[in-house]
Amino acid sequence: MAKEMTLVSVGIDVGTTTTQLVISQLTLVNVMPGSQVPKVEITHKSISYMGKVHFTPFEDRRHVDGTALRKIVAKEYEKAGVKPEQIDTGAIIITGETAKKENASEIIHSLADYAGDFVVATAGPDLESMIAGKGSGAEALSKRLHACIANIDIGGGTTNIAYFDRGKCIGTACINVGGRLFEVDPISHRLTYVSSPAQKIMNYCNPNNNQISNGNDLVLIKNCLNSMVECVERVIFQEPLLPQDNYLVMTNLLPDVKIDGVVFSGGVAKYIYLPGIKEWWIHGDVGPLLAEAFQESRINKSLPVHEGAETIHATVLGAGAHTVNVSGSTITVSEHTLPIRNVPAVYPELDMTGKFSWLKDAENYTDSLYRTVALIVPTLPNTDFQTILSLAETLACELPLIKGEPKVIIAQQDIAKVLGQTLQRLLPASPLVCLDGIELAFGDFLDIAKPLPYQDAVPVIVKTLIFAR
Amino acid sequence: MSLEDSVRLIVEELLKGMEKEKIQSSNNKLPLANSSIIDECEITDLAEIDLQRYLQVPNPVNKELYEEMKLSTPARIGVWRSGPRPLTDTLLRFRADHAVAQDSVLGEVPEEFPAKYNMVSIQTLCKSKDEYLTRPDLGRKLDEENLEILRKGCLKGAMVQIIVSDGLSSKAVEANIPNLLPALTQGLEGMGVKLGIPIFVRNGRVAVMDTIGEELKPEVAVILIGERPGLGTAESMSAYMGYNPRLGMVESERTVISNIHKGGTPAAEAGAHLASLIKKILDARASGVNLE
Repeated sequence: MAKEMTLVSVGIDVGTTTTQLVISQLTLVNVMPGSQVPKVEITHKSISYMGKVHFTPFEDRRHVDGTALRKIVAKEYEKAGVKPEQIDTGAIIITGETAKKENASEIIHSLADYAGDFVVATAGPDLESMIAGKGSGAEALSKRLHACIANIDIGGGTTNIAYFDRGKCIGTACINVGGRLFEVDPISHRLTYVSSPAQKIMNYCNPNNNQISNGNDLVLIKNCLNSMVECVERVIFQEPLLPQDNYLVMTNLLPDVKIDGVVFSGGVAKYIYLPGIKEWWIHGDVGPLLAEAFQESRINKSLPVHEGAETIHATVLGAGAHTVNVSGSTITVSEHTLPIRNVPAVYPELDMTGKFSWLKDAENYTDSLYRTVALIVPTLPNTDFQTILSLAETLACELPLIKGEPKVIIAQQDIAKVLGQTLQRLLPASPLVCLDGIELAFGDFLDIAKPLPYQDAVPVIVKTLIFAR
Repeated sequence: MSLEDSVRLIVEELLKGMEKEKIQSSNNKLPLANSSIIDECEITDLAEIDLQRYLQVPNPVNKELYEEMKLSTPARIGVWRSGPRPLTDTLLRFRADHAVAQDSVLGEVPEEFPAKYNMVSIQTLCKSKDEYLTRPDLGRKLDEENLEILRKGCLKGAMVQIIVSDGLSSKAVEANIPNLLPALTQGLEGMGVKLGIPIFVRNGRVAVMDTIGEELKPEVAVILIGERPGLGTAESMSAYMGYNPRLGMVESERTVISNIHKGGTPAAEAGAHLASLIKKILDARASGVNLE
């Protein structure tokens, strides 16, 4: 019998310029026929509520206004008709320039606690780039076209690039190029604020610091923006960076591959797809001018440009609907052990006798910050009972030496249930969470939710990425 | 010249031409035949080739996509052709796989296999594979002699009775039982379930479970039986479970897990999954559609 399960997922994106919230419904179904071992997949994602685009509230240039931010979320929840208790999962992502504010981390964690039982707080330019590419539809497009597609998400503070090769994210970059690095007065069109990365580029473009006279602002801004877009070009076309680019490139982990097309997303993308706006000052920033510069760029002219499913909402949609994975259905979970958050993935090394040992890597996480660690079982040469038994024996020796409960083990092959049952026999007193079916990489952190109704599978959120290291 | 004569003339001309060609081509063939004898020692076993990684199309336009498509399915796609026909190695491999499937149906589980896993070995009314294939009804029944073996060797009223049967694939039993049985036993015992002595049934059908159930009265019987082999795998096994197995129970009362093999659910993991499924059946006191 096909029993459908739904998860209510929230995505909140606190960006440089705007804060947005969406609520989506994820439908989970056992996709296997009744006579086979179940496999739960997310079969459908639908947006049930799309919030207004709010300006991100700031106390001053260095502090996010936490109280005002919480009010925005509370108001949007009310409008959507949901209570924080009803939210099953989701993510809050603090992005762009906002992530650099002094109280960013504190604000976002308290907001995550308020927003729902299992909403994760995340930040980090690489994750943001990937989430934006998923939300914009670039990931799906690359899968459909069997091609390598670059998603370029141009926001207020940063441009986040992610490459998707046939549905798989293969690299990201984050560049300090955004529409709100310069702010202007909508009436006089004069500069009112220049952010620190923008100031550095301005110093480069205008080294003599010429007196800015009326009307010269526009020319100067345009020069700066062109210089910024050229930097993005150099990153994408794998050209040597110039000295001034170092002020802008925050992270660059893009592989040297041929890309078959680009998708633009983020607030600025709208003006790339719909050019020709006369009142460039309407938002009090230089977004439309930046779009113009991208329009003239080699990126737009020499690569096929695809239109994604979303532009300004890409990141928030990605955060809400694309952060959750589902584990395999044959797993072992002791009662009352879940949910758990922020579990670091611990990788083993091979010892002299060819056995795995996790002890050394586990020592990196003895901090009281981590309740427990997740031991990763690499791919085994076979899944015979004997192989699993000897693996379980090794684990049973090491698990009592590794601090924290429940004991979490993540296997790369479909063996979580038999491995878990073997461990329960060897270590009957230890609460255990043994999962499979989750793709992980070195340096990942996991949040594991409560098991789904009807099925043993658990939703899992994987944070940070392999190429972030 | 009559029409008949002119036809005869044409035919004669043609025949002469063909004769000439024959002589020429057989002259050409000679060195070829020799070289193939030399090559014979280096012929690789076609059955060893991993079909999903075997790219037969010469100079594919998009090799990566072709590889991806091949890997996405065990079906024989992208096998290229010779004129309108399949290539020789495609055809030979097809026949080789078909032969494996046939061997699996007609083969026997080795005599010593049941004892190795401490199973009580019995046989249905079918005395041969031919009879087994043609008389499904006999594959569900046991004679007095075999029932007596059960009475003597097995426990009555166990919580769970495990039955293993060759069914339509002896290879499935040999490939999966060594990994499935210990995982299943460990899982059930870990949940405090008391097991009967496992039984091996030669030439058995699923419903032989009913006959055994009638005799031993376990709470739940599970039969691990070889599935009808296909060209993809000959090692696939199914597990059928019934609460209160007895004569006259209907098929909808059975719970089934199929596709237990290397490419499906691996045997050890399947054993662990079956253990928790059987526990669910014990707790609900129902199986099949009654369990849903």
